[in-house]
Amino acid sequence: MSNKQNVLGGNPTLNSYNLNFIIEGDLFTGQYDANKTLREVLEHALNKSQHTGRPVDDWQVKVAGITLDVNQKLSNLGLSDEVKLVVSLKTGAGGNSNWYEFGI
Amino acid sequence: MEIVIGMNLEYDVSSQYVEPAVSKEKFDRELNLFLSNKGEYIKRGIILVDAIFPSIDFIFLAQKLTPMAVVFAVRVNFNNYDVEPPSVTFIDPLSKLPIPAMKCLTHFQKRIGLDPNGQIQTQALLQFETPFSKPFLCFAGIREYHNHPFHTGDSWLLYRKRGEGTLSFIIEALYNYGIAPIESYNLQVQVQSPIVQLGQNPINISE
Repeated sequence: MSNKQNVLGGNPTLNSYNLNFIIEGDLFTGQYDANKTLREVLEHALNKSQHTGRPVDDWQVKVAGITLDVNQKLSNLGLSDEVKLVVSLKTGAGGNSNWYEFGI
Repeated sequence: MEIVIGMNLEYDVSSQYVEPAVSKEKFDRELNLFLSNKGEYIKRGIILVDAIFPSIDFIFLAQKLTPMAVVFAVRVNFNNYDVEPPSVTFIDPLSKLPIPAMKCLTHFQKRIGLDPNGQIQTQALLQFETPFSKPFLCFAGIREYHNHPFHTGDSWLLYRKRGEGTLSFIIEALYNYGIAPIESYNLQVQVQSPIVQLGQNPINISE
């Protein structure tokens, strides 16, 4: 577990987690075994909520602004039960770094 | 702050070539999805201030800061949605007038990898031609991106119905790149050598 994910302060001893996914604004809830990876769980949630048009790698999962590693088991992510996970599509970068830029 | 939800009677229909009822229904669907999770958005500092078809105004707060900061405000416009993707305009949170790039406090940095020294490389998703011009978000799903001459080969129709261009997608992108990384204020203090002068009362100056 990375330090970044320790800050979530969840319960690593649970055998299963009730997770609330907010996928593109839709709420989807499910109970998942703590030994499943977030990727497995995310795939299931995307399928069940009819968000099947994009591969799982196109999505990212965040909680409290922190991006979770989908390859980790749920028990390693520091999640708390009933946590709300925000699932959103990754954004493709356009832009042109040669344009005028200043500041941040 | 009172939230206004309704129809803008001063809305310029001349630019709307999609049947307005169709765009309005899709606008309502996107808005209702947002409102169904409004509490969660507020916890993350995403505040809806106006929703009058065809536009929704939001302000985004950096909630990790004390005091919290209004980092930016946007107007998401659903004119001709979803034959066209939504437009995102950065506005002054109080006057609601569009702001130039130089007034944007964040440039929506996206991590694009590591350089050979292991340093994180980023790219600004906020683009503009001069500090005085209108800034725009440069990624698929945003009207300004697809209408830009650099991206004529990346049509919106390749993305429509795939997830990009929804209100949720736009809000999450604005939050992920504009708000989530902000954890502190950076203060720049310019220290100047004090200039000590003697104060004279003109009345006491001799002729």
